[in-house]
Amino acid sequence: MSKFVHLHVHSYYSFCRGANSVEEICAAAAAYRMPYLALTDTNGVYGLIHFLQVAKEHNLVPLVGAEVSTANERAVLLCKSQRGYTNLSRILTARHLQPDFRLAQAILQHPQDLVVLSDQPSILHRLASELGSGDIYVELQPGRPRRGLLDFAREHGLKFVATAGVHFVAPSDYAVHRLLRAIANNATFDRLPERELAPKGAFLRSPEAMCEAFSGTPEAVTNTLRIAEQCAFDFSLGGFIFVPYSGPHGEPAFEYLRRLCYEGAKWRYGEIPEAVRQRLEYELAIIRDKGFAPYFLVVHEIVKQAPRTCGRGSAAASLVSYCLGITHVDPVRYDLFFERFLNRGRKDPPDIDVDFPWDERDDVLEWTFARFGRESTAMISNHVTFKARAAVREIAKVYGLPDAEIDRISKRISGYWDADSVTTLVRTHPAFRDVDTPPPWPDILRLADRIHGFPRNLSVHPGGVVIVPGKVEDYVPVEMAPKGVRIIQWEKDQAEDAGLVKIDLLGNRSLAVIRDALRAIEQHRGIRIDYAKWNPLEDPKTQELIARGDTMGVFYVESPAMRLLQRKTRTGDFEHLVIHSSIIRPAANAYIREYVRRLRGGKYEPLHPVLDKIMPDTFGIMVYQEDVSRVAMELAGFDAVEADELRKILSKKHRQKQLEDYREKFYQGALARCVEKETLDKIWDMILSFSGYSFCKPHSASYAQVSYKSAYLRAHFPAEFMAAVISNQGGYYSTFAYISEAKRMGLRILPPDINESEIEYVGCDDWLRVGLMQVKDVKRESLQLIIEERRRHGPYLSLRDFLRRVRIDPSEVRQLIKAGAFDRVEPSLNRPQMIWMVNTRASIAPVKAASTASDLFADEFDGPVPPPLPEYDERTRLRLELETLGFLISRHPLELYRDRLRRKRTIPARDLEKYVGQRVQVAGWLITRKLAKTKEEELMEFVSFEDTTALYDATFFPDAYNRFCYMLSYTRPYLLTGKVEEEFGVATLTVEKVEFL
Amino acid sequence: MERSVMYVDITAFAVSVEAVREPRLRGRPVVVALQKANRSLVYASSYEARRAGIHRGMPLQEARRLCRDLIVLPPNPSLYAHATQAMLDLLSGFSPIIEPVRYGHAYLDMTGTRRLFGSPADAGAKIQREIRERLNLEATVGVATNKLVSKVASDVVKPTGLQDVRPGDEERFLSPLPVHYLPGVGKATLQQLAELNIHYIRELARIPLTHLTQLFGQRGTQLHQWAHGIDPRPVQPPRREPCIEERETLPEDTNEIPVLRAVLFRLAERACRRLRQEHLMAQRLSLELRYSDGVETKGEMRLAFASQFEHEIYPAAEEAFAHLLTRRVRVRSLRLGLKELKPMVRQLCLFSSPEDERRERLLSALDRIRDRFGEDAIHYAHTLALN
Repeated sequence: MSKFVHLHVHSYYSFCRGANSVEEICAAAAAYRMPYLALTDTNGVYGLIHFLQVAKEHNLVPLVGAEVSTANERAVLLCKSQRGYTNLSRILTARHLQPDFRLAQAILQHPQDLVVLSDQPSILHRLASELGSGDIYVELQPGRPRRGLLDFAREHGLKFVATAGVHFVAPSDYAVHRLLRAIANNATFDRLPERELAPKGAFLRSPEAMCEAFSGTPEAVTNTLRIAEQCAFDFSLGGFIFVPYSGPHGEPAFEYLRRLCYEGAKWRYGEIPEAVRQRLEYELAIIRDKGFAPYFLVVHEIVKQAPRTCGRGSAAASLVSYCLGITHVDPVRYDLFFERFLNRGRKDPPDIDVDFPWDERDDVLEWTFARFGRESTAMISNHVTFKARAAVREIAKVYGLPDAEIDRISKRISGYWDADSVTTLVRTHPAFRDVDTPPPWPDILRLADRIHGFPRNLSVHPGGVVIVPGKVEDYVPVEMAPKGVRIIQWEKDQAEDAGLVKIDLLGNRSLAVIRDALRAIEQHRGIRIDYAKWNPLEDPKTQELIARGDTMGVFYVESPAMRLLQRKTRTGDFEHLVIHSSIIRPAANAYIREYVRRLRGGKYEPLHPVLDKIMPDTFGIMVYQEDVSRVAMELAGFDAVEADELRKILSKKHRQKQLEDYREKFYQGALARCVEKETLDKIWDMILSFSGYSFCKPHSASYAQVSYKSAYLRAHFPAEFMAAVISNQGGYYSTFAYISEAKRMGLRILPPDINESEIEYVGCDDWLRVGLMQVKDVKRESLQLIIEERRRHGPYLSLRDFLRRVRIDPSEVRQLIKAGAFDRVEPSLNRPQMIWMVNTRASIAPVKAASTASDLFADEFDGPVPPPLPEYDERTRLRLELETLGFLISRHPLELYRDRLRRKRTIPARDLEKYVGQRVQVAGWLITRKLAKTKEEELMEFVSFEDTTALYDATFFPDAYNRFCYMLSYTRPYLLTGKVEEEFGVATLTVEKVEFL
Repeated sequence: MERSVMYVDITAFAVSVEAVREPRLRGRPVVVALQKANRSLVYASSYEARRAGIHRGMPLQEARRLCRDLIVLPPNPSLYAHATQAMLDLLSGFSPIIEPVRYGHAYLDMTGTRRLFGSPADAGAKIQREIRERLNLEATVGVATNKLVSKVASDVVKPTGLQDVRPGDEERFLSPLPVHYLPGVGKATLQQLAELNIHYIRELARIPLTHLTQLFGQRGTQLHQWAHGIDPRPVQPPRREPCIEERETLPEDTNEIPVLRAVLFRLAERACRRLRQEHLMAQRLSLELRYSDGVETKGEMRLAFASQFEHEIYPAAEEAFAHLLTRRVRVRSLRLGLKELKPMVRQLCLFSSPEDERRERLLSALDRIRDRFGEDAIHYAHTLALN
């Protein structure tokens, strides 16, 4: 066992400083046979929980600490106990939240159970004189001047300790450290100030090397071990952490919950059936025993703040949530598996996710913070990491490449490809075929691979909120996100592992779509739909629409893959929609096909009779997460807790080792039950298809219900629905694609108009009016001014009238003119003349207050009559339409190529099904594309195109993908040649050739 | 007397003068660009290269892809200066009033030369012939009553030819041309005019003056005149402020400071040597950086006292440099100018330290070595970062 312990170590959780992961550091320390290892990241414990786990795997005793530093102060703090940790957390919080933070003062406020290491005499002196010298150490590092510090220590009777100030494991990683510093400082290598860099010697030295380096002061080395022994303690925040709660007049939480549940059950069911009562009692008993009543009550209270919410995730399996109005699917009726949400054996806290309309969520959050106290609440953070594209960009900037040159490479690296190696990507991927990578690109790409996945900063988790008893900073350091929200230093997984109970309050666009559509329907047609009572699940028209896959714009089921599946299955009832929205997962294609085959009456032999027994509805094919758990229990004898762990590990990222353990166990258990190995391999493969993301049935059922509501609106009120879909943005498709769809639905698209348009899109009967929001480069505030003035003083009478009443930037008025918004209000002038008026007005009277007095002389300021200018020709008008709106609304872009198309022998996409098995040519405008990988890890792509008659789906198998993918863009038409393939009655095009039209 | 102005423009100047030295380049696709650098841009191109789609400002790599047997020449400013001088010498035989514009372009005021050279068109043809015979270059010539129209005339007949716009025909000549032919109608104006659906000079000419000034202010008047072919500007021989200028384009763009400093020092050395040769001192320096992406920054600095020595001028240049270098992007070229030149005055011995004297002796020794053995014969060690 070595005598030296590293007490000052930075991992990559010291953002843009440490050059190694926690795993790499622990592995290196273990290789030196060190008994202890400290992790002291800069100003945070960002990786603490992760470190505790990894250290354990390497048989290291983890030491908890951090380096706290400001512009001119620094010290390493190590915790001797849980109380020491609480103090560290408070100090770190102060470091981030207090602008006038002083290190020594902060330590003096929370001094208990902390060991302080520093090389700054002023800090050491102050602390030692106030706290005594027991836990204050002078930090000595190899390669840094030592004599002065030794003298100082002796003079003041302080002990000293050796550290390596580790910033990287191997000396060669210095380059990575320097690169990270340059990125963080927006600098180049040689413009990086010395003080921003750790010394070249700050690597994880061997114990021998440290002893050697401090041979003159051996106690500096022996002290490391002494400190380590003092600082070894079992870290634990003490189980589930959640705020206590009691009902009105001090009613105990559980009693109150019970009362609310029964009231809720009456509201949901009227007379409470016996099955419901039993289930309710069962759930309540578990909740009582686990002490989770406050959690449900808090969520209940938050959900009450908004009229339209959707509780989702496993919580929807709970009758308690249903009765409380947190979730809206009846778990008894739809047979939702409560144990997926809570069970007696499970160690982790419950997790309820609630969706709010995206534009109402911030208010709900704000209410929550105010209600439970700002100090007791915070949001979970995200650790933003360097992905391939960002890494390449940042590194190239350090190398001083101009933006255009960086774009040349980085634009092709889509941020979504989780390319583990950019070097390989660039060298082998067909999208980079014509791209040169002269020096320094090879260096840049190599380094990008090296820092791939490094955390670089915190951001705010989309919805995770923690509410604790007392102050959040007593559990985990708190920072302030740029948008002014308090966030904790841990991301979701670490927070959960530490025992912090989170509530997810998420934004959902479709709830806003439904809200807006309902509002419009009431406004235009006087039809009022009561959201709370509204149940469209049995509506035949909606079911037909879903069975046809006519679901563009419909929540959750609008992707091309989902629509294809709907068309193949030809089912539109709620139960099947729940299955289908769950079975659509990456990596599950083979099972989807088999499912459809079986659904359509295909004969099959189940892999194992147990599967058929567990999953009769899906013909023995695993669809939901809980199916995995149930199979593990039935087939391999897992208990409920183990089965649930297996389910969880499948969806986590760093899991290889644990998954291996479970596989072993699964095989052993199943083999012991005489399941054949071959069968088992197939079942395990099916289980692995749940890697990455997958869904549980309660979640799918909750979402399918929202899908149904939006599908109902699409079926009965298409204009209002499409207007709401486009106005809320953020759907799966582009606005252009939705407009095309609206045309196919028989809606007339009306152009933007200064008097007729609102900011958002508006639809009614058979028309859809483009909203002014579509006009590019006009600010939101300007649009609000325009609408506000119109509402107050009536429609605009002319362009002059408009210019007099609304003061916005002339460039914005020009955009509106070019978009045609003034064509109807100013029929006597053509667009160039209108632009003339705007421009002369801008140059003559740049600032003129809109006072009423001046209106008397208004004409004087309106500028003279514009000269005769020719109107734009047709081509120009189309170009401007494209420029100002982003796409054409007056006609389909393919119509412009009609002449060229006439010479080709294309078939209309609408007729694709008539050409099954034949080779055809089709015109295509790209709508959306989705990259996929074959079993052999080759890239392929599913691409949706449309022509003027229909939307259709095309497949680029690896060969075609390699040859043509670089040609595809959303800005020009194509001529596709390929074979029409049919599966379950749905025709798709297998592309063989792509040409520009 | 009726004015007569001529614009002479040597066809594909940079490439053509190279072809004079190296006749095998004739009729071949040739461009001028820095060859060593990885991402250099095309400075100039022959018409053969332009036919392959290559144009000025295009990345060399792309140009190479468009044209396999492209010949690439490095820029050669001294050759261009030399050739331009030869052209001006030739032109001075035709008119005393010549205004050179860049390398290889010039205006001539031909007013009153009819008796000597015949009609302006005849004179133009003669000039073309002489340029062909004596300099072995091709030129386009525009003849008109003013600078504007003569320039446009020459642009219209590129790459070779002569365009004579008769007095009174100016407006008719311009009217069918796109507005971008008018000098000073850059991207922004062009776009503004396009928004108003004005694309041709005749459309611009149709707009009444009052309307134009409402829109463009003072410039409206000029646009109006130009659209009608009116241009009162005289042909003006240059009055140049004396300035010593040294520039260097890096063989490969870099953002490494030691390398950039070495280049800067070399520029200071060269400029100071020229000062000493001409017995001048400079009181002001200017520095210009050009980055990889074409962005330029400039700075000027007044020296505490006039000097002709690099050890006095370089520190100031370095200060200006530190001030200018604010971006991370790699630097492509540096230009150092020394201005406010005055005759050398012997410094009073009273103020010069022995140190200074030693330095000056060292510098004059360096100068002598370079005079004898060439520019690269001797260097300070810290400029070796360049090699």
